[in-house]
Amino acid sequence: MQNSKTQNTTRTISDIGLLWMETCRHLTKKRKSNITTATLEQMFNIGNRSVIFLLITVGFIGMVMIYQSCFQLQRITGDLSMIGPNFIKIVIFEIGPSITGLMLATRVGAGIAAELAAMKVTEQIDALRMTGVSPVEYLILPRFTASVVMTMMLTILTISIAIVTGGISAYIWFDINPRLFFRLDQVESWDVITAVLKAFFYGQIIPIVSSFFGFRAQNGSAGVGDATTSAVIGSSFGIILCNFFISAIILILRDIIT
Amino acid sequence: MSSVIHFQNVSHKFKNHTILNDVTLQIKDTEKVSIIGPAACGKSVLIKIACGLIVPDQGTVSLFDTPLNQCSETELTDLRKDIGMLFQSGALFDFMSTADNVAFPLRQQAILSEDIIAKKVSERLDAVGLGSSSALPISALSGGMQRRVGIARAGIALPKLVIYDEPSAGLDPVTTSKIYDLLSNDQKEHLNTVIVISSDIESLQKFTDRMIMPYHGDIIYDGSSDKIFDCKNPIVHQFIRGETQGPL
Ligand SMILES: Nc1ncnc2c1ncn2[C@@H]1O[C@H](COP(=O)(O)OP(=O)(O)OP(=O)(O)O)[C@@H](O)[C@H]1O
Ligand SMILES: [Mg+2]
Repeated sequence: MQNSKTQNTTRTISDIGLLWMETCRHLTKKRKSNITTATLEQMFNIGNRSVIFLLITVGFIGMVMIYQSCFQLQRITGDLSMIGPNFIKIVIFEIGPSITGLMLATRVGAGIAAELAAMKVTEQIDALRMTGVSPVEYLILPRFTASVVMTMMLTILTISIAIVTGGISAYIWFDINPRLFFRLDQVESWDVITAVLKAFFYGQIIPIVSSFFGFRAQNGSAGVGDATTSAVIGSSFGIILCNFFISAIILILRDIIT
Repeated sequence: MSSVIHFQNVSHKFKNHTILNDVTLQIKDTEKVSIIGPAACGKSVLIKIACGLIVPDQGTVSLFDTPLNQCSETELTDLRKDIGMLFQSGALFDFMSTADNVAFPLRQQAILSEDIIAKKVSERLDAVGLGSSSALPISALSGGMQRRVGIARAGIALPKLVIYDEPSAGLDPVTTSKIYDLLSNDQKEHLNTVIVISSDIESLQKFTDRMIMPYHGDIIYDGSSDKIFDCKNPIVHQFIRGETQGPL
């Protein structure tokens, strides 16, 4: 029993890997059908579905983080002059990309999985195949490209919002001068590289994992629900693992190079 | 005549339910074939196996003389460009309008200009009696209308092989006759291979030359449509006459 579960998980992970490779192969292939419009549509969908949601979430997280850290720091050292630069650093390389990724996994991942799963259980995906259309090219590729681009753009947005709300809270509650707060002197190029890499990979994990579970759906509407749940769990889990590995690799690289 | 579909010793089962048991079957170019049989005897699965949508447990399936088990997904996609299919469930794209659904196979071929596609689509929709519904979304169509959109979509690109899974389900007798006339004219004009799954024996006898009846894994009838009433097999005998007494 345990053994077959492990086998299933290994199988799922390798199948997701294969789907990812196939999508990348389609990305480089010369295409007859024009998917630019579809990609723009998906980009709009992703933005439309998540911007407000992201802004509110990340705004509050920025506020709470600053409030908690200043509050603790005040009790221990009383020196709040370095809070701004360090907050900005951690938001760039960790909080910004990860919150964006996890939020998009729930918003965008669930949407993709539900849509594709519904198409799968109503045989629309088979109908696409029968028209000589590759479902990977027609359905996944636009979502994939759109997700990568939008995750990167939305990450920039969340980072900015978190920093701004953090700065405002620091000023209101702890009277920290914005000039002291908004300093980039702790931010290194490594932090920016980490952020870019994370957003780039999260943007790939979400559509691939979600499409995978969508394509695998069966058993009618219950199957659509299952696919959506698996997609959210799977992509969130993927993002957390990816976060760990990118952070670790960057740390090691950084040690080697500097 | 070259072969369009060729099954060699194909077996397939779902759990313990045998759908095909060592079946060998060939459908040739320009043939008009119907597949009949009681509910859940495996008609839809049979054609899905033929198109590579379901991979059989054993045996070789060839499509246009290409063995599917040696095909890559890309080659399979290319082979399917020559097939039009009406799914039993319709399988219409619900994110497109009626006209876009019908135009889809033509747009994917990317040969014709939009003007010509639009003209062909409206002709086709007129032919199935849906000329005025072209702008409607799929969700706004009745069951019978959806079936006719599916029929229009399956045949529009004049594929070498067209498969209709229950083309007359949910249609009134008059519309059914019109649809069979359309299919028949299409076939006469383009001499393509047509496979129809249906239980409407009378219409099938008029339209197709050959009938195949799968049952519990075996093909219990494979022969001329005209002679099926002479068949001595008790299951075939009972099925085509719709009798309540018998082995079924
Ligand atoms: N994906 C599947 N998984 C498990 N069993 C299946 C699957 N697809 C079909 N079956 C089973 O295979 C059998 C044959 O199904 P099929 O759809 O081919 O029937 P059919 O002959 O087309 O019937 P109908 O005339 O009602 O359409 C059924 O008993 C069905 O339960
Ligand atoms: Mg069927």
